Amino acid sequence: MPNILYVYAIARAAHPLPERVEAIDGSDVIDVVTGELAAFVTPVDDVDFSQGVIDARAKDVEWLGAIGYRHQSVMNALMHGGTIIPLRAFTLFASEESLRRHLEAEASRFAELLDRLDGKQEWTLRVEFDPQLWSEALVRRVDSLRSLSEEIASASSGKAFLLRKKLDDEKKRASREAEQQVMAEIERAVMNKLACDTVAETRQQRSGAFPQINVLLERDEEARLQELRDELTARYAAEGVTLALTGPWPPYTFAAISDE
Amino acid sequence: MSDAEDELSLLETLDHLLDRGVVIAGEAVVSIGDVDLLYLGLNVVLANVDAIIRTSQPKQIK
Repeated sequence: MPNILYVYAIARAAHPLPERVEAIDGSDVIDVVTGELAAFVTPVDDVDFSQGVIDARAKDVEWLGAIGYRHQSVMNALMHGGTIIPLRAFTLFASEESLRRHLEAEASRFAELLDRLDGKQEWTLRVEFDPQLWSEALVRRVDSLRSLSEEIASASSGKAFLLRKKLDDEKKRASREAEQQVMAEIERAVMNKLACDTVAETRQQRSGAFPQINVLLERDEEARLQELRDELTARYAAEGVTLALTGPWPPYTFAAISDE
Repeated sequence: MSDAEDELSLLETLDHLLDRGVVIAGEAVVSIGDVDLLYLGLNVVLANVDAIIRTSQPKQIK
């Protein structure tokens, strides 16, 4: 029997219920209103959603994917109704009473956060590096690689073998530095054009996945960000760097950052 | 959308909502935030899916 609450987001008390959308378990999304705030929730069973069950099923991409897909649909529907504070997926409260207590205790912090996020949307620019093109571009970008590469061209086969190994090692180091440089250039270009908040995440921070820049934009500036994405894609095309733009996302990154 | 793009968009969604968002401490009873390995796994999959899409077909970018 549903006896705990899966909480998606917090918004102002007058925020409308999401329309025509399935909750994470296929049921409904309801609101819990306390003072000036509303939390959007689905009652779920505490056995189905115990830490043990969640941990055990977390590697089941089908299960996780189904919940993730519905969670995101609820968030999208909620975003249509106005500003929301997205909570991390799988936030569960023991009871309506404990949720109300939390909303009351944190009322002023949530109200400030909602004011800060009003009229804004989060977008993500993922910066992708084509291994072959980027590797060739590195030799052009970095002087030391260029001279090594020239040395290889005129070296004897034995020496060339050793130099090629050295070139590979140098490339790895240079690639990290040059990647950070490209990321900094792109982040600066975004800030110069759009004067907005950004949060960059390096490949290291993303455990090897492509680095990305999260952008908090005014709602009407989406077209300008797309324009900038096109400009930057053209600028870096020869180096094998492309930019994928996704969004608008609920302000997952910026709500959490303002929260710290 | 192709299957690969569907998969990418699902992984992107998971990437966003599992590791981000406001973390409620105290009153909340359970959070998946502790499952760090999952996130690591997702990231690796994400990078792989990116690579597959990049090399196999022209990419649709929103």
